[in-house]
Amino acid sequence: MEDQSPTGIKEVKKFLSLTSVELASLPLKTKPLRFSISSFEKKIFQALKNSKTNSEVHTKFQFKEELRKLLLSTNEVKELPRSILKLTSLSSFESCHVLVHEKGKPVGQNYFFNHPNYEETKLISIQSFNSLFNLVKKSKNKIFNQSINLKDDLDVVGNFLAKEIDLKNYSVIYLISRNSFLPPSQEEQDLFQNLSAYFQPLLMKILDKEKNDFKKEILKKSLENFPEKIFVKKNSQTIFTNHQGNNTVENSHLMVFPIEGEDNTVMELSNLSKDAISTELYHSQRVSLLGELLNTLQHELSNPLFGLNLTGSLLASDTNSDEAKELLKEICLNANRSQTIIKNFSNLYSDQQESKKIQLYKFIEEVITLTKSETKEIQKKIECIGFSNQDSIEIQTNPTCLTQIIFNLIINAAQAIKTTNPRVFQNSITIKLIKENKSVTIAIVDDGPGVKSELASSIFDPFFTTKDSGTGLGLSICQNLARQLGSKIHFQNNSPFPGATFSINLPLV
Amino acid sequence: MKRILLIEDEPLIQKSLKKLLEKKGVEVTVESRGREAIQLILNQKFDRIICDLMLQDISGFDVIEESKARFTMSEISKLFIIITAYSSPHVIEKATQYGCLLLSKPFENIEEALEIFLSEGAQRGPN
Repeated sequence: MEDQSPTGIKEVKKFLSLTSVELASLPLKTKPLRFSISSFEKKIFQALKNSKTNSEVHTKFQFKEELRKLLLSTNEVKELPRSILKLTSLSSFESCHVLVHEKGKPVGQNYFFNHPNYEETKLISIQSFNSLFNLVKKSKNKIFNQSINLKDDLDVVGNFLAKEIDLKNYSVIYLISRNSFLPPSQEEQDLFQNLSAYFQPLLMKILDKEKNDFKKEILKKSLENFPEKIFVKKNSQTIFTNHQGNNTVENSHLMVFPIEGEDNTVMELSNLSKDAISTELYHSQRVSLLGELLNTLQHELSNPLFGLNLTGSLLASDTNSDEAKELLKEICLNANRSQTIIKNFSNLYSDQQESKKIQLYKFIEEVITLTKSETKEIQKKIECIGFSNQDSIEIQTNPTCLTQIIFNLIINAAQAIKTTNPRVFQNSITIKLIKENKSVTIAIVDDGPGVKSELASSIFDPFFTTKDSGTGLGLSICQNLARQLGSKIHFQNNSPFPGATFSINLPLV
Repeated sequence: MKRILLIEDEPLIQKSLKKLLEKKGVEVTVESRGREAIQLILNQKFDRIICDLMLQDISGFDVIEESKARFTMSEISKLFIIITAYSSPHVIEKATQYGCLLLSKPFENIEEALEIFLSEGAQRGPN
């Protein structure tokens, strides 16, 4: 079997046996994938240069020397076509293609170089690639001319030489052409054929490297954008983190994973997200359960309430007593009202994914109704600023998310008020709908104690709470819901006035 | 419009709607079960059938389907008016297939609803 190591030592040895150089005294290095020039080979080259006894050997060795440089200096496949044409013995060719197809992928890459300085990388369809590959594989002398029907894919003129290389994960074709009627000489053909033995390990190395680099890049990007703090540590030294500043995670929230195949390397992940995620999941499950419950309630109550309504109207039209008429009408009205309330509630908690056009003013009124027990005695009002007609304020949004946000912010405001003033009827919560350019800002303004300035930066953090019985998740969940709506909740104290304002901006229809 | 069949299982609605319609001078037969209602439809003559969808035994749509044994689709679309508290898009689409008018409970205006029940050409329009 032919020696296919890139250094081609055996072949060099064979040629050297023709000359007078003493081999026995030279140390042999036979590592097949070593691309550096060993002192052994430098010596041979030197000996050859000096002897000048065999010009054929000299040419061949020079070719190998050039090849070695090529192998050493090529780090990317796209450099290969240019490098091939730099080889002295192939320099009469004008263009070179290297086609690479990663097995299983729908397209291949076509790396192209044309003298003197034109470089291009194109995609090649798998059909074109495969038919060319099979054509090249079947051919004995590997000489082709432009009559083959693939010239459109390749921009080849004149005769060309092509050779295929089949690797484990890739198929590769390289071809060289020149714009001439002269067919390639036998010597050129031989040299060209021999290239594949050298390219095989080189391609294996650089293709795998390119693929790994690509994978690493993706992994790095996703780690960098991971929402929680990640530290990759080797021997306790941080070698990667997506988090600037404070270099550690509190031990109580730490998850540590050893990295397989890498000694003494671990990935540390802030455990915070696990709790936060499951709490959010729990929250969303609760909301969806509530939605279903309200839906069932609406359906189950609808019929009897309507029955009450009908009966009331019937009796009212039958009776002659004005007092009875009045009371019966009251019954009808109340039955109607109950029906409307439950219908609106189930609308507020409808399908969590659904985006709907809503009339904001009415919507806020309904949410305020939801908060009635928690905000008892506190004055509540809605102010429209910049809108001429309150019914015209329409937004397209997910009502369930927005209900949660506004509901939570109103409840928070009420709880803040209650912490300082037992006579809450003196306090008020104002929901301002402020017209911006093409959007509306919904601001929930209270006149409670406000947020202490040293705590202001933490209020949206999960588990941050100042309440004895609080979970610290309300605002964190609200902020996440706001993100789902493509917005953000802003906070500021009303100083010099008392209280705080939480606001969210949403685009108008 | 002389005889109306009211298929409805909520007692309060049943009783009051019957009374309200009778005050308009029509004879009202009430049935709360779907299967019994089908027997009535196949064997007696009604000028209008007001049919709830969620019955105790079968769906109101089943009642309409069984009525095909006696009536053409065109007759069905004029005969039946569907009333329901569950007017989901799916239900509305199905009612449209039969060409029947559908009223959501609660009726927004009772007097108007009664007029619709008693009108001759009360089937769904082309849209």
